[in-house]
Amino acid sequence: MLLLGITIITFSVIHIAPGKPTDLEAQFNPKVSMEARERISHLYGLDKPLHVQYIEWLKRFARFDFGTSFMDSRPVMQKIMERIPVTLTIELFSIILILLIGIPIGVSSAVREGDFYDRFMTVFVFIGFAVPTFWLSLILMDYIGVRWGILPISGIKSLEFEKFGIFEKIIDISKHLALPVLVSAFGGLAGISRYMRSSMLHVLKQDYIRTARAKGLTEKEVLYKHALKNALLPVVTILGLSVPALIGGSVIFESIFSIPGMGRLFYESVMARDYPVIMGVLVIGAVLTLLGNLLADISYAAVDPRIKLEDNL
Amino acid sequence: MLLQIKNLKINYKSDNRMVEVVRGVDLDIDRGECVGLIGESGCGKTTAGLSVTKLIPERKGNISSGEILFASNDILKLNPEELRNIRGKKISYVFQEPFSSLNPVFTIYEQIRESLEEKDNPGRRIAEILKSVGLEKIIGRKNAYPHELSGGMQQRAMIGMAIVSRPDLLVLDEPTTALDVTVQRQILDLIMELKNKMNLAILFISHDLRIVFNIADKIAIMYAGKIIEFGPKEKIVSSPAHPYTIGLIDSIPSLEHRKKPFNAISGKAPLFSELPQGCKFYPRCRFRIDKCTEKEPELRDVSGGQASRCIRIEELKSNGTIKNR
Amino acid sequence: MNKLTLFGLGIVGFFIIIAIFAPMIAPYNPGQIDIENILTAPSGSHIFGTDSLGRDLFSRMVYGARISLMVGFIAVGIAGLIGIALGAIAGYYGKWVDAVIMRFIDIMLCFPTFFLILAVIALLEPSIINIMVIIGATSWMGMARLIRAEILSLKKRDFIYAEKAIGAGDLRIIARHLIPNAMAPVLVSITLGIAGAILVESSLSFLGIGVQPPTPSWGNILSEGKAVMGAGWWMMLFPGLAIFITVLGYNLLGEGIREKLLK
Repeated sequence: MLLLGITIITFSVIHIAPGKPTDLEAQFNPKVSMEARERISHLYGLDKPLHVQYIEWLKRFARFDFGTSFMDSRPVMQKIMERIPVTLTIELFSIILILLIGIPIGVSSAVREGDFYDRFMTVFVFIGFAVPTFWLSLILMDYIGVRWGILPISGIKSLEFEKFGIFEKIIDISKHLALPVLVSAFGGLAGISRYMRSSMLHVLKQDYIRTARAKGLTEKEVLYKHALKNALLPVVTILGLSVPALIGGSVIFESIFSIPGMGRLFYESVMARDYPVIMGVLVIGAVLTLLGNLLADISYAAVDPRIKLEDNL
Repeated sequence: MLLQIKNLKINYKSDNRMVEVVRGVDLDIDRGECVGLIGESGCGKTTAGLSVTKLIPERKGNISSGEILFASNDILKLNPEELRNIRGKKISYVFQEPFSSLNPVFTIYEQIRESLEEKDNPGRRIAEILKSVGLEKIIGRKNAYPHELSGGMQQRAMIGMAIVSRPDLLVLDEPTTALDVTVQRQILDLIMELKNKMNLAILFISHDLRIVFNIADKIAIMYAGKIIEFGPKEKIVSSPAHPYTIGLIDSIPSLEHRKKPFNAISGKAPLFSELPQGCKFYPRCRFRIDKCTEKEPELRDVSGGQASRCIRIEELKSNGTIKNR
Repeated sequence: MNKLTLFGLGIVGFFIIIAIFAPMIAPYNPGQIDIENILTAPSGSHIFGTDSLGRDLFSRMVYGARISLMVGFIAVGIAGLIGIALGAIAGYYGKWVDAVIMRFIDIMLCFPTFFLILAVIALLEPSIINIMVIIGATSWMGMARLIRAEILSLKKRDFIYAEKAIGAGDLRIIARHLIPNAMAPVLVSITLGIAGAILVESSLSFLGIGVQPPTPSWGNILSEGKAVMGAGWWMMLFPGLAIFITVLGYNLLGEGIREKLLK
């Protein structure tokens, strides 16, 4: 049901644009005659009424056939599939980074509520929220990449990649991905640590924490066993929900760092008015988001004994 | 004497101010003895109860003075490790709301197991405990979570958790208030049974004299942060020695004498920030005289083992204004 | 009020004033090209330096404030209108109306917002009006949900029954009684939304499909900064700093409002 809606919106988005897709091709090759244009039109079914176009497109979409790209005539699906791994890898590591750093910050801030540490972290986190990713990327690029030369700033492989052994290949890719992952994680970090903090604070006020103390458990056990597990529950869902944000953000840093990922593909295809690719990416992006949400729901049900999976599915 | 609370004073945070809600409480509990602490909500009884093992969070309140002697050691002077050795092992708690007092993401088994001292073969000991609190149904169900149990069963589980390491003192804070009336009776019977079997000392905090009556040996009545009457339960109920106690007993609706009107105590409990001069019960007292406002009366012996803060009580009894029941 | 919140309020106020009084504050005409002074570092005569066409950066930044703030306010205004209206209708009428609107919200939430915005802007032309509308049209979902939740709980309250009893029409009830009472959490959304809109606008301008030169926007100035990376640090520093501080200000303000509401 959701998928249907997604397709409708995607389709409408494309057709808001004035002008026909064929115009672009014609621009490149002014010698293309009227007939040729009409032939192409017919090929893409652009001359049929809108709703017919939609149904046909939908049929092909069901088979994951998004048609071919206008730019280089390769199947859209193939182009997308090439790029997805890169973007997903970066997202994955981003999420890992966010979890590794954000959760401890959130927990420790909650435990030290009102303390200097807490206030310092709050300010720090707000700064993280507010920094524009592209600015951060530029600055990092400038200093770490260009001036100090610690990490490479473009692409995902160095020129001599093919000559590297497995181990060196891994290191090379890691070095290339380091900055994008960092940038991608930065904003999410702020969000998660804030959320974790408020969740932890909420949990610490609960009666069962008092019971745990009354039982004579050590402070560590009270915090990291009883409180933490409860506090992590809502954070899990938030993670799943932040997938669309991460994907959206990929446009920027992939462009800046010249990473061949989905974000940059999207940007390039938008600039080139490559409709099939645009639609394909939009739909796939939405699908990934749905998957992310589903994953979040499943993990929440797995972790919280009060929820039964069947109710939600 | 197992527990001796001496001149306990506690400040509590209320609307961003610190207010003294326990203003000098003395209480003794002997081994195997059950003392009921009765009072209206907000009189400080829960705060006093929580303070026995320093369970009041620092940002909420602090104990400003007094001693809490447990087997001759002042609990207030113990270091954190020594305190942990007492909590849950020598002094245990059962709170009012069993559902929110149990951690929802751990099984009952796990939560009971945490309190065990013997680490090997926990299953056997847990089964024993479950049996002694009437939870035979759960024995063997290692994956039972709190939300799967009824309110009564949850409270039984809480009690089980509390007695697992055979404590000397059990502090119960309104343990039956949140339960159905039918279940209340069962839980009270269970507590009584356990008290006798294990020779438990009990501090039973409640707002309701009736609940406490059967199981208590002695009763302390608390008002506005201080104990205003204390004594053996029979004496308290048959010959109450303070106007407030009299009011409490009279206001209990009687099922037998339907025609007897409700006698609520007029007025409301005072705010700790606006306590009147002298006797704190003065504004609501039927027997008040000017002298009552001079200074806050001391808790003094008025007859064998019974103490009261009312300066007029002997006079009122001897001239027949107050009769025994 | 919390010190940080005051700080945020101060920042917000500061930039609003700059935006309003831009013509009086800017020392130069932001479009004034000066070939002799291309890419000069900050100095007495040009406190933020000049760009690659010799234009005074400070003046361009000041006018850029106008653009960024204007886009922020109007975009959020549009989002607010859509969100509050849809959320109120969903919450008030319930049943299938609610179900349909909620589904719509769910669908919209599935898309990476930025992708959508990017696509639409690039396909239409990147005019300021388009930017404002599209940002507004993609960020109303949160507010709709909030209003709906509040209204769901409010509509059962007595004063609503009283209004119905005296025959007040639906629109009147919604507009005059329900919405004002439900606004509180939305206020937080609006403040944080302005921050978000400013970020989106500058991202778009940075990528070249937002505000088009020569109209100055902090985003497109920054993109110029990228082009001249080594040669003009001031081109990278100031616009980024401005965006950062402004967004920070709104975030602090928004969080401060939220803390106040929670009490």
